[in-house]
Formats: sequence, C-alpha cells, structure tokens
Amino acid sequence: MIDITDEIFSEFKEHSVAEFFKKNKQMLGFTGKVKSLTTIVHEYVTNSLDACEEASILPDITIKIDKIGNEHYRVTSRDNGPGMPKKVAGKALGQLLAGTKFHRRIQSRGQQGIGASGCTMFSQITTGKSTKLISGLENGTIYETDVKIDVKRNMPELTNEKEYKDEEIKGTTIIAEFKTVTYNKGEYGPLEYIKRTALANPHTTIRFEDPDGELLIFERAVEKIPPVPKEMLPHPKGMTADDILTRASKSNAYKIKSFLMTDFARISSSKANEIGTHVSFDLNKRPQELKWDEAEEMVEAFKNIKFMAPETNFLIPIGDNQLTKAMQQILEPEFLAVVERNAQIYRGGVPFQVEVSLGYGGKAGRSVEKEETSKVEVLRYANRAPLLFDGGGCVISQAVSKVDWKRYELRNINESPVTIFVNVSSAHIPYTSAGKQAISDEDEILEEIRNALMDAGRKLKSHLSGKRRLLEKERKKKIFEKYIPETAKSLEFLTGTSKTILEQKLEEIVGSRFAELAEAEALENGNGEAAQENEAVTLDSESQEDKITDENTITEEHEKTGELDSESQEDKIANENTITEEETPPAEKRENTDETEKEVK
Amino acid sequence: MTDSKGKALSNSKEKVLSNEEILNSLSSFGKNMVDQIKNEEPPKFFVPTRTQTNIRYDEEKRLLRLGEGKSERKFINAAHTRKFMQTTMVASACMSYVNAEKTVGKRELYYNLKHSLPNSKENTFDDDTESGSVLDDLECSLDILRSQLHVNAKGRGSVYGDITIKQAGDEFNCSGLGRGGWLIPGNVEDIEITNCNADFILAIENDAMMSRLIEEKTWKSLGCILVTGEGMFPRGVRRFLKILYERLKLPVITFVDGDPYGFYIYSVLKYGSINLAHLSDKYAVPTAKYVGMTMDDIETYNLKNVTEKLKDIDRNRINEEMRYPWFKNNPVWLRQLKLMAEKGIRIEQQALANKSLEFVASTYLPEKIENEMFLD
Repeated sequence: MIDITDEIFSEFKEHSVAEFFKKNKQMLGFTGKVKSLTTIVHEYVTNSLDACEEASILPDITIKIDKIGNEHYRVTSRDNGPGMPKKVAGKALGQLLAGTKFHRRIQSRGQQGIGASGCTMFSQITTGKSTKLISGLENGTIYETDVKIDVKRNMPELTNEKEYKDEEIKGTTIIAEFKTVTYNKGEYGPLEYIKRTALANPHTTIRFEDPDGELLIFERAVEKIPPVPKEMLPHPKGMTADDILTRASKSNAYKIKSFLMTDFARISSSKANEIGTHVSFDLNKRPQELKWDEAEEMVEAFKNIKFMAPETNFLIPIGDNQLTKAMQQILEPEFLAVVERNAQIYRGGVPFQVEVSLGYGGKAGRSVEKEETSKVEVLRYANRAPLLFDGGGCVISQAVSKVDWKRYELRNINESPVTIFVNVSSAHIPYTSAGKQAISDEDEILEEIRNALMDAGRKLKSHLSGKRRLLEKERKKKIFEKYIPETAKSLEFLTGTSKTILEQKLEEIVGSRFAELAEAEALENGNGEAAQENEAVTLDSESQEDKITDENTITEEHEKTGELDSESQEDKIANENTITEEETPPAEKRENTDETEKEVK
Repeated sequence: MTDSKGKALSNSKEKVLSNEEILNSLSSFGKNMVDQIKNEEPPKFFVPTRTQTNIRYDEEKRLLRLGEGKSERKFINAAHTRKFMQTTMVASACMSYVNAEKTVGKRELYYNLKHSLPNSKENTFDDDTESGSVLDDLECSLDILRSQLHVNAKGRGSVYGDITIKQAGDEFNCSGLGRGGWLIPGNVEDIEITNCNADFILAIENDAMMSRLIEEKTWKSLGCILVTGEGMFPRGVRRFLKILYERLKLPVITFVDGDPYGFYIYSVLKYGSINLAHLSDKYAVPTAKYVGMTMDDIETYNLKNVTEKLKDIDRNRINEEMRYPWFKNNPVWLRQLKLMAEKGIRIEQQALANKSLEFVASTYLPEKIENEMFLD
C-alpha cells in the first residue's frame, strides 16, 4: 500500500498532479464538511511540528478558526519555528508532491508533501482566494506572500510579495479561507484532533481558539525536544523495481555496485558481489543505465539473499516518560500503563515501533452525553500524528478488537472508562490511502500492537484486581463493624464494663486486624496473586472449622447471606474469565479461593 | 432399678442451680470476653461441638455423650461475627430474665431481641431458629439448662394416671383432670410429686392412642401412668419422664409405631439425642424398654393387611439408624431394622384397631407387658 501515491505519481506526472488531486480531493482527506476542516488543521499543525523539531525548537503552535459565513471559515495557523524562506515558500504551499520529505527515508509526520499545498488548492477551489503566508526568519527578515497554485502546471503563483525587517515576528503564519466546511466539537472535529496531538506531543504547547472565541491551551508537559530524525537508507528487502530505478536515476555513483553499497542499508562489498552472482547483468555499468527488467532481477535477488535486519535506532518514539506525563496531564487517569515495545520489522525490511498507553478512570474514556458512564476511546497515531478517520479499516482498531479484554478485568471494554493510545512510528507508515487516516493491516504490525495492548492489559488487571481486593476488604471490615455496637451493649449488660470503651476497643481490634492484612499484602507486593492466595488460605482454615461446627445451622447461614453469595458467584465468573494462559494459578488453589469467598461471606 | 445414680438421687430433688449461680455464670461468660477485648485480643469463646462427628456412645452407661470437640466462635471471622453478637445478646437477655424472675418462651425471646442493626437494614435475628441455635450454644457452653436460663421449651404432650403433682402452688391428681390429663409444660424443674399409685410408666408416641388408652382405663387395669409426647418427645416430656423415673423408680416402657421414627423416639428416650447429647444425663432413661410395635407383631397378631409400604425417605432413615452404634451393635435392633427393610413395610400403633378398638387395651398390652415381651 505504500505505493498508491507513487503509482499515481508515475502515471500522472506528465500531466498535472495538481489537476489530478483537484478532481480527487477526497484522496487528500477533503471529504465531508467536518473532516475537511480537521484535515486542514492537521496539515498545518503537522508542518509546524516537523519544522520546529528539525530546527530543535520547542513548538508553540496556535490555531484559530473564525466563522465568516455559512460553511465558510478562516483558519489561522502560527508557530515559533524557523519560518519559511522565500525560495521554499512557493514549493511548500503552492506545489503538490514537492515537499522535502517524499524521497527521504525519514520518520516524520508529513510524508508525501501533499499537505499544506493541498490546503492551498482546497482554499482556492472553494473560495477562489489565495493563501497568505507571513514568515519570520532567523535573521529578522519577514517574508510575506499570497500563494495560489497554477493547477494546469502544478506550479506556485506568488503575488503581493513583501520583505521587511521585524525582529518581533518569528515563525510561520498561514492564513487561509475555506468554504463547504463545518466546525463542530465532536469526535472528528479540529478540537479533538488538537487534543490528541497534544497527547502525543508532550513537548508542544498548542493554543486553540474556536469559532466562538473560546481559547483552549494544552500546555507542554515536558521540556525535551525529540531528537531530529535521521535519514536512513532503505533496506533491500521490501524494495520494488520502481524504487530501485528511481534511486538509481538520482545516484552519483559510477557503478551499480557502488550505488548498491551507498544507497541501501546493509549491503557490504561482499553482499554486492553476492547480488552480482544472482543477476544476469554486469554490476560495473552506470546506475543510470539500469533497465526495468534488470531492476526486477535485482528485486528477485534481494528476496533470495540474506541481509542483516535493518537498523532500528532511526526510529524516534514518544518515550515512556513523555507519554506518561502527557497522559497524566490531559486525562488525569486513576490508572495509567505505558508500554514501549522494541522496534520490529514489517514486510521484510521496514522498521517500525509501537507504543501503547492505557488510561483508566479519571477523564479517560469518551464521555457520552446524558450518560454517566464513559465509553472506550481509541486514540490512533502514526508518527505522533493523530488518525481521526477511517478507524474501522485501521490496523490499530483491529488490534484493539483482537484483544480479549475480559482477561484483564474489563468485562465490557466498550462500556469502560478507558482510553487506549497507540502510536506507530516508522519511516514509512503503510497508510491505506493518501488521506493518511488509517494504517493498513500488516501482520507484523497487527501482532505487535496486540502484544503491546496485552502488556498494558496485564498491568491494568493487577491494578483493578488490587482495587477489587481493597473493596472486598473494606466490605469485610464493615461486616465486623456492623456488629460491634450490639455486642458491646450486651457485654456491658453482662459485666458492667462501659459500652463506649468496649466499642472503641473492638474497633481498634478490627482496625489493626485489617492493617495486618494490608501489611502482609504489601510484603507480597509485586505478586498480587500470591498475596491474595495467602489471605485465602488463612481464612480458609477458619471456614473449614465453621463447616464442622455449623452443620446444623448451615441452611440459615446460607439464607441470610444469599445476597452476598450471588456476589461471590459473580466473582467466580470473573475469576474464570480472567484466568488464562500464563497467569493461571494452580487449579487447586483457585478452587480454594472460590470456596473461601463463599464460606467467609 | 439398679441405676446407682438414680438411687443416690432418690427422695431428694435434683440439685437446682440458684439464680445467683446462674447470674454469676452468665456474667463470667461476659467477663471472659471483656478481658480479651481489654487485652486487645480479638474475643472468642468455645462451644462444645454438637454434631454427630462429636457424639460418642457410652457403652457402659448406655448414653450418648458429647465428645471433647470444641469449636471456636471468633468475633474476627466473617462467618462467626453475627453469631458472636447474637450469643452475647441472648446471654444478656437471659440475665435480665433471671433478674426479673420472668420466664419467656423461645419465640418470645426471639421477638424480644429482634431489631435492626444500627445503620443497617439487617436484623439482629431473622427467625427463632437463629435465636434457638444460639440458646443451645449457650446452654451447652455454660452447662446450664435452658429452663434455668428462664427460657421455656414449648409445652407439648400430656400425662394421665393416678399421680398427684404440685407445681406453682397448685396440687392435682392426673386422673382427675377431665379427659385429657395434665398438659406437661416446658419447664418441669419445680414439680413435686406428692402421691403415686402405679407400677410403671407407659410412654406413648401417638396422642390418639393415648386417648384410646385413657378411654379404656388402661392406666387402672395395668396400673400405669400414661405419658405421650405427641410425636417426637419434647424436652419437657423427656425431663418429666426422667424426674418420674429418678424419684419414683418406675420403669419406663415405650409404646410407639413400628417404623424408623418410632425406633428413634425410643432411642432418644433411652440414650439421649444427638442434638442434646450434652444433656443426656438430664434427659435419658437408660433402662427404658420397648413393648411395640415390632416387626414380629405383624405375624403374631396377623396384621399384615394393615401395614404401610416404606417410602424412599423411610428407607434412608433405616439405613442411617443401622449405622448408629446403639442399634448397629445390638442384634435385636439390627434384626428389627433389617426385617423392616426386607419386608418393605412399617406398622403403626393404631393398626391394632383393625382387630377391635379394645384389642390394644384388653389383649395386646397386657399380654406383652405381663410376659415381658420387650425389646431392649
């Protein structure tokens, strides 16, 4: 799926790419009135983040949306980045597929160089107006221009160009108007997009002013700029004939052999020689002379030769710390798990890395109007850029649905206050379409996300079962406390000892008994299951006794505890559901636990 | 009358605990727990275990005895706490009854103590079996009879015959109280027997049979006192029989249905019951004899056509009784149980009416008793 745009590109470059996209604007994400506006915000924010990070600046981004008329809005985007010099401004905003990133194997949010220019075109075809750029450069120069795209030639048209000095203005400001778009605060709107961006980019401050003039600020949670992604050479596995020809045509090498060694990762001199034995042509000819058939031969050779796995240290994940801080700041969850997995490879040669975070309680989950409970919320990201649309077709959604959440004490994941955050980092994210809203279902990526989710699930489980045990304990404590007053009163009558003193002492005894239990559990900490069993065993020996003593009264005992019994039945079911795989305690003990629960109650 | 204990007690009332002693006992029961609480120990007390596992049959004395088994009742044990509270409540209630010299019924005790717990919808007691079971515990662990704790067993059963009894200031002869005789109350500790003309006591299961024997004036013709428990003999009746037996040295002869339930009534009378094994000394009459109905009566008196078929529940009971040591190790009784199981039939007392209404009084009982055709 990498190659949708590539195919389009090769097929249409003789004509105008711009013309093609004008007719197929849905490919760029401009479908639906709400989605279009979100796409615009996405393109601008993405560009700003990439620009700031490349210049090692902590990003400060402001997005302002003004309503001008019915389905007519103005979007203002401002950042504190390095600004756009005159020579790149036209390409960046007025020419499709002209970005600096398309042919680079580098992990960045924007990938194909359609984004901001796509917005310029969308503005132009819905309002007839140009897009305004105000660019404050490092040296204090301000460059202003209005940008349009000459659709027939796919070339920028710059008008009203101005250059002046102003030390105050830094960074890039883009102002553009759009029609046939709508603003809303829903799940697919710009606000949600910005909130999600803030979550995945804790080093960023984002201000958002909505059409009602309401200002929302997402403050940065960490002061650390992520490292600049390094360009990486492509790994031979996963190359297509077209990829090879494109690279060969641009190569400065004199021979194909040296082209192979300089333009690809993991090809040493001896590997190059080995490739030579697999192909019918001479590796000593010039790369530019490589023909399609020969490139295909080479792809075949790459398939049959073993290469070292690609380096993965080019990938820049968000990081445990950063993600934790961002999730805490924005969701204030009762429980948070963050899982960073090691980099893996899909399609034989493309490295990727998965990060997962799971927030439970607090503001986690999607709140539903008129309902008190929250529902599950899945936040999908590719290279930290939120994916808002096409959730159904995305590998992340598939992975979430392939996890058996019941194992992790979430009986109904859909109705739980849970936010699931998944970020896939890769120099080449396999999007399902040029709109870049969903990741295709590569087996390796699916499996990796699923494993990460299960990791997080296990952490959540131990939190939830700890919480459940605590509640259980509280409940038991209350049982004892309930009977204190009558017992004290009767003992006062029998002995004359003050009821108040007896009540107080009994409360202390109950209290310290539960403190002991808590302490014992703390000692066993890190192994919650063991602590639970421990408790169960002590109580069990007691209840064995009861069984003998209370044989004659057992029926009434059960009657009066009928209500509690049904609770333990539930627990039993929950236990059965959660006990699986590696976490299964010995069956014997499990039964004991259940038995105990019932007896004790 | 060879029972040495019976002789020692003869002509003197059994020593009854004074109210003061009972109050002391209750208060030291409480004090024991208060001491534990003051020492910051989770309070607990012991109750002799009253289940079949802790019952043994004393071959020598021919009584059921409670074993050494004791169970703890701990306040800090979610399964005990409620019962713990209930026990202290019943103890303090009994103390107040003894103080006020009032005696309550089992159900009165329940209603007296029933209320909801503070800040809870839960009741202190949900029914009188709860308070009853706690009372049993208390009786057992303090070794004081429930009647001495001023809680009465339900009165049921009656006595008829030439015996003069004094109770609560009244004196009466049990053959002069109309058709029914004297209704035996739950508490008979305070009775005095001023006169008695009888050679033995006939303990009868069925009150209709009792009426028949009263009408036939059997008490006169056989020279006996008739006592019925109207089914399983209640505590009052059993205690009454024991008192009569001890004070008057009269043998007790049991006349019950020829079925597992009749057999068990006899065994309770003779050896004590599983439930009250700790009180066998106060209730059981180890010399009691069994006159009928027996499996052999069916042949002897040609009663085959008035037998009843055994149901599954009856067979289960037979199997259970065959495992009781006092039946299992007694060939006479094992034979009866086996015969019953083999034939698959049982015989009721009133089946004798098939011969004639008078048959039981004119033929059956005189013949069997005079010839001492007893099972033992």
